Amino acid sequence: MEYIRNILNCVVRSFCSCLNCNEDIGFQNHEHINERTHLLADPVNNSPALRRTNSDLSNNEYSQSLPKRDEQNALNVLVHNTAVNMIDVGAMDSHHLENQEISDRIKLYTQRLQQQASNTTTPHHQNQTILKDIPNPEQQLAAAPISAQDMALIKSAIGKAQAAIDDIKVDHKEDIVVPFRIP
Amino acid sequence: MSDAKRYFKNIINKVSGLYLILVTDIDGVQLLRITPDDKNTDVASSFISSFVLSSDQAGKLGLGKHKSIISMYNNYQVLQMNKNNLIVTFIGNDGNFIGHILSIDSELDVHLNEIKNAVIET
Repeated sequence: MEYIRNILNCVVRSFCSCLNCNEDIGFQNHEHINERTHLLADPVNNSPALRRTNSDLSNNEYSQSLPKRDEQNALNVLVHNTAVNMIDVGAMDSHHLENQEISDRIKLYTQRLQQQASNTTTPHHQNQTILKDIPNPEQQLAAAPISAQDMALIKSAIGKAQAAIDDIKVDHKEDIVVPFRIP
Repeated sequence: MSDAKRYFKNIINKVSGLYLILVTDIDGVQLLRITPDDKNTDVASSFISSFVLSSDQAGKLGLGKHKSIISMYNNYQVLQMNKNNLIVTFIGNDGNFIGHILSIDSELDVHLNEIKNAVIET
């Protein structure tokens, strides 16, 4: 019996808390919708600073035209945002310049660039590359390395050449002074 | 020859596989055209200007705002960069020049400033 009462208590408590929870959510939702429903919300008109100026101003015309203008602004913002967010592939073809305009602009740009080049005497940057006399160093550097066999051949050839050069001796056979036979 | 032109000429001579470097305004009007050996290689201005539009539209499709587009074709690769008011286009073969260019991305800005002024004044 005690056990059943405990269970009942528990169920009732959780049900109550659920109700509270729902109320909370409902309240929040209600407030949320209230915020969202005003698509063309008028924060400027609601601000206390503006209300004060409105009450200060006796000009009725101004206070009437203000919300209208804000509405128009908000509408413009909406239209602009929609245009910005729309994916319009069809409009891509229509955006081409006339040949005449292109040539005109090219002339204008070349003229300006020449003007700038003549006006500014920029210091000439020194070429700081190490391998500046090799046009494509990466091609040379990335080439396949020489094979071990060729390396050995080159080494042995150089060794032999070195030995031969070291071995060169003057073989003295006759006098260096040659008598001229003057007739 | 202006400093920028000399710089790009230097790049095209150093980086193997590059056929053409174009510096244009956002409508595809050329400011600089650099080719190795001054060949007459050229690209339609509509191709260049469509970069800006397709970049915008692709951003809206979900790619987000991006600075450059690399297009790979069968025999060509095209790298287009958006530098505020300028589009810089690199066209080359199917080799690996793109990495070279991307590695000097920040260096490009320095040399483009000189050209940028010619466009901003319009």
